[in-house]
Amino acid sequence: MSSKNQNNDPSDCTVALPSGFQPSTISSLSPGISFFGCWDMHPTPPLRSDPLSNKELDLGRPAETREEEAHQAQHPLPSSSASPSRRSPPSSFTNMDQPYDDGSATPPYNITPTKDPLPETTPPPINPFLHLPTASLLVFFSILGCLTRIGLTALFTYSGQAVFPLVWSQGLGCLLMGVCVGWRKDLERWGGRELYFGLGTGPSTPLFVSPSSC
Amino acid sequence: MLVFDLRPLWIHHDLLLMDAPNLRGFQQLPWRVPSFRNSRRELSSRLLSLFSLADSPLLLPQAANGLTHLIITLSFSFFSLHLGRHLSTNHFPSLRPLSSPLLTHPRLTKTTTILLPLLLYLALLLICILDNKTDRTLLLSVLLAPPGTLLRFHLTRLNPTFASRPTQPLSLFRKKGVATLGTFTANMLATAVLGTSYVLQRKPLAGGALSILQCQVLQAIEDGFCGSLSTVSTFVVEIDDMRGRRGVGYMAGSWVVGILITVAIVGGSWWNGSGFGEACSL
Repeated sequence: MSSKNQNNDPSDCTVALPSGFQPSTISSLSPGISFFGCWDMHPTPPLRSDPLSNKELDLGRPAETREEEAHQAQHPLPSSSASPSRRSPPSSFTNMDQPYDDGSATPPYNITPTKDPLPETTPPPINPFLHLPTASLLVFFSILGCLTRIGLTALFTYSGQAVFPLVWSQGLGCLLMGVCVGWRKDLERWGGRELYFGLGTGPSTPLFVSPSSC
Repeated sequence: MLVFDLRPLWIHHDLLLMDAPNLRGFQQLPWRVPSFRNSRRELSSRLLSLFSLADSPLLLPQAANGLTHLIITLSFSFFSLHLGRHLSTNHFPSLRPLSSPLLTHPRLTKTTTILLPLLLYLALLLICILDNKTDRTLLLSVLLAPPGTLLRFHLTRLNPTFASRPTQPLSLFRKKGVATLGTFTANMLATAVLGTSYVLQRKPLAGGALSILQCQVLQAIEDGFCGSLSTVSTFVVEIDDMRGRRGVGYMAGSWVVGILITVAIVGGSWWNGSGFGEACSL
């Protein structure tokens, strides 16, 4: 479950792979899937049917659910095929004569302990202020940003300079910030929210010039 | 030195040194005791000539310099922000090439993410402690940069809109409050710390001159800590997100409060004592 919830799940690609195929296996066959995963500037429409078994693929549903449904199709439960919509559990217990939503006093027949399909694959909510990877990435990128800032300031300090040298680090930081804002969804999907925080917040651009460097 | 580098406008070192014999505390401030004899060299003329620039030719390049800094910083920052956003959304809209199997291995990535920066920081700390021959200003700057960044990151809890999920906002304020209070506080705090460090570098203390290590630490506080605590990219992004007058008000507010903080710290210590000297050999 926890490994499934990672953001870098290869099933996130635009092309849904048939179950049993590894991405590396199919990468040389399908033009839509490159070596790096599913990078394609002109994305091919997702496969609607498995070319091997010629059966419909359930796109967007996890493999566990598909296997489970296949198992249910082979060994059908008594009434699951009769009523595809399950009787809902009681919404309130105020009316004890009709505790179930369809008006009966008996529990539904086909309440079986089946697993619910996976909810949306959202990462578990974290507190970024108490999150160690976030802090580590902030440390890393702030070190890099500080070195870059000092280096750029030293590089562009010369006699007869047109503008103050800090404009270079400020511009570079704002460019990086703009890229991060534009790529925010991809960044968060690929490296988590800590990467977005680290890249956007870490290499800070100073608002002022250090007095000795001007 | 303060927001958008108004230092040329207000506290230029050479210009302040010229005024040293004329200023002895608040009593002789020119709006209390107007003296027109040396009015051109006094601070009041400089304050006044902010509004009538032709009066003092000495101030004119400084004011122009400060204005140039402000305009260039703002325009280039906005240009860079929009360029980066345009490039990332229109020309390189996907980060998918980065998702190679090695890079996205969860355990490897997480271990590297946590361990590498901490090991790097520890190594830098050890080098800074053990090596006492080279100039340690750069090392100290790099070591003082992460605390500034972390402080600024934690100051975003002052923003009322910061929430990891809608049901549980992590900010200190629930709904009401200034939307950009965290960045504003970080910038003003950095301005205050920078002004204090600037004063300490130049104000002769009772104990005599500062040692070399103290001067290096002060310079590192300016370069590393204040440079990481203050930000112009987040500032610009926030202004860009605001619409209408609020962005202009936020920008002008940061500017004015930055000026006031620096005038209070630097000017206050200037007017209280006998001016600035060189506590550190800069």
